Amino acid sequence: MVKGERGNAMDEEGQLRQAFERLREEERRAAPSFDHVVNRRRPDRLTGRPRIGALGFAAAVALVLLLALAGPRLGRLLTPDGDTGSLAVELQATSTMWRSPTDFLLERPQARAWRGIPAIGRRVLPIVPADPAWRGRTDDSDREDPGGTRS
Amino acid sequence: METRSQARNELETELTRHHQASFGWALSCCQGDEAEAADVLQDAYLKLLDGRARFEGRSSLRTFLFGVIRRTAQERRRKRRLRRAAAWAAGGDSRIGEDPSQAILRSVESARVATALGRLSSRQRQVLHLVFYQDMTIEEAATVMGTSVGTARTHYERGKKRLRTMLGPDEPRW
Repeated sequence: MVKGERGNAMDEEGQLRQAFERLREEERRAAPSFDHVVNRRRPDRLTGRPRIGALGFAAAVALVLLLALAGPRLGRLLTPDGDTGSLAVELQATSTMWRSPTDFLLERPQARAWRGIPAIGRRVLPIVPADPAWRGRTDDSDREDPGGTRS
Repeated sequence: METRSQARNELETELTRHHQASFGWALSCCQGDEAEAADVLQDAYLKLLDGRARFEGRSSLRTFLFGVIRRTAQERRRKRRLRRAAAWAAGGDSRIGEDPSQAILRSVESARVATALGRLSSRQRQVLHLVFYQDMTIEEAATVMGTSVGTARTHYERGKKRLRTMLGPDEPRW
């Protein structure tokens, strides 16, 4: 720090000290006596007990809300047989039984063949006899005839 | 039994000796609310006189006393907030305990300093008050505030800078 800067800082500190000293004098003049502070009786301002009515009402509202939100779940958990794990088991069972509605898209026609060892001589896949009328049809002929014009 | 009452009397004498400084500190902790400062001071004195806060001589009595006052003010602030929240939840008057207290009559210059101090953060205000108003060292201030010396020093430097900016550099007389 340069000499001038140090001087400025000290000036500032001195001015601050003066300002605080004035403040201190004024506040000390306004200070109540020690005995008055220790022995004073306080109105039920902040230190007093909270108003029971207001607090009780707030607690009751909170309790009702809690029961309304958590009541049904709590009832299931506290079943008469005391088995608090039953809800968990039930949830697990539900999740394993669930099947996706698009599961059938993953099924392959041959999938059935691999489910077990087929007996000798038993057909695994149904053999549909070929339709002789199919041969020679165009693609258009496969479509349905909405008007019923085809004979 | 006699020694007990003797000790209490000695403590009361010491507290009386520091009373005016303690009131100034309580005012600073209560942001200038005189009635609240008196309540805080009474609670702190009773804690000491009843033995709920025990001075064990690890610091000076003044440092210890100021620490008790600071914590008491903090506890009361917290309780007041809870009480307001409860009153608000119950649909009542959430301004419980808000009493437009009669401010101390101050000169214009002191009022200006007090207003500027009120705009500082509580830590900055506290450290500046302890150093400039109570003539404590930064180390003592740190003990009262329950912080490290480094933290107290940082608050001191920043607070001083902000106070200077708020009071204006062109006016030499604050």
